[in-house]
Amino acid sequence: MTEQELLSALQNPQTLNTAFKALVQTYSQQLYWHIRKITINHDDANDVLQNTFLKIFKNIHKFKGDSKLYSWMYRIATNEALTFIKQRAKKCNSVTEEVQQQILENINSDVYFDGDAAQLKLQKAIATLPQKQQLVFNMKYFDNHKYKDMSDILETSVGALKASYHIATKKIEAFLKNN
Amino acid sequence: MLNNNKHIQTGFKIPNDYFSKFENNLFEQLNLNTKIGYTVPQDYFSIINDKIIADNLNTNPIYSLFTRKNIISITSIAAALILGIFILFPKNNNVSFDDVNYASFIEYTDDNFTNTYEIIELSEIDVANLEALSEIPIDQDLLLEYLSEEDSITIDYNNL
Repeated sequence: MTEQELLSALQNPQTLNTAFKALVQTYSQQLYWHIRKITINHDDANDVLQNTFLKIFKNIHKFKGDSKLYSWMYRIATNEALTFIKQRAKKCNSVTEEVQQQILENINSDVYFDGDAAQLKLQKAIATLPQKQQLVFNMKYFDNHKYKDMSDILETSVGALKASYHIATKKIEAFLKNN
Repeated sequence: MLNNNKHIQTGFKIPNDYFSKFENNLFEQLNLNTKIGYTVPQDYFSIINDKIIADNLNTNPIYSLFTRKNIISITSIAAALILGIFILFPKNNNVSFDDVNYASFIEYTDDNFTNTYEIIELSEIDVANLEALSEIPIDQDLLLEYLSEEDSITIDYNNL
C-alpha cells in the first residue's frame, strides 16, 4: 500500500480502523526509536509513543497532505517527546539536557540498556548538546535520515541542518577525547 | 572518528514482544479491537433489527407532547394557579409598633444612636416644644423634697 493509498484509507471512516492498524504496524518501531533517543528511558518512550499515535488517530482527518504522512507523524512524535522531557525538567527545576544527563548517570541500573562503555559514553556526549543539535545528530547518525526529510520534520533548512550536524559531531568528538 | 563508527548502536533495549503488546494496548484503548469476551447469537443483529422494525410498525402512532395546543393549555393552567395563590393568600406586610420586641428595640437604639436627640429627630415630637418644656420654672423646695424622698435613685453624673 502506498502512502497515498494509506492516507485515503485513513481519511475514510469506513476503512479508518483497518488502515490505522496498518499504519501503527508500519511506523511504530521507527517512531519508538526516534522517541527513545530523546526520553532515553523505555517506560517514558512507551508513554510518548502511545500519546503520539492517539494524537495521530484523533487528527488524521485534519491532515491536508502538505507534507509526507511520515514527516507529519515524526513531527508529532518529536513534539510529544520534547514536551514530555520539558515537563520532566520543569518539575525538577532543571533543563532538558540536565534531565537527560541525570538519567544517563543511573542508566547502569536500567534493565533496558545493555550498551557497552563506548555506547554509554556516546550517549553522555549527545546529552551535552543543545536539544536541537541532539535531534539532528540522532536522526542523521543513528537513523541516517536524508537531510530533505529531516528538513520537513524539523522545519529547518537543509543548510542549517548540515551546519548543526557538523557542529554536533565536533562537540561530541571533543567530549570523547576529553573524557 | 565518528564516521568510522556508523555501526554503533544506542545500546537501548526493549522488552520481549514489546511492539505487538504495544499495538494491542493501543488498539484496545482506541476500541479498535472488538474482542471483549462477549459473544452474541448467530445473526443476532439482523434478527433484532427486523424485530425492532416489526414492533414499531405495530405500535400506535406517537404524539408529541409539545404541540401548540398543549403548550397553551399548560401555560394557562399554570397562570391561573399562580393568580389563585396570590388572591387566596395575600401577602401581609403591615407590621405595627407593638410587634417589635422591647429588648430588640433597646439593642437597636444602643447600636445606632449616640444620644437621645437623634432618637427625637426620628420621632414626630417637635424639638422646639421639648426645649420650651425645659424653660418651665420648677419650684426649688418641691424639687429638693422630691430628691430627698427619692434618695435611692442613683445618678450617673458622668453621663449628664
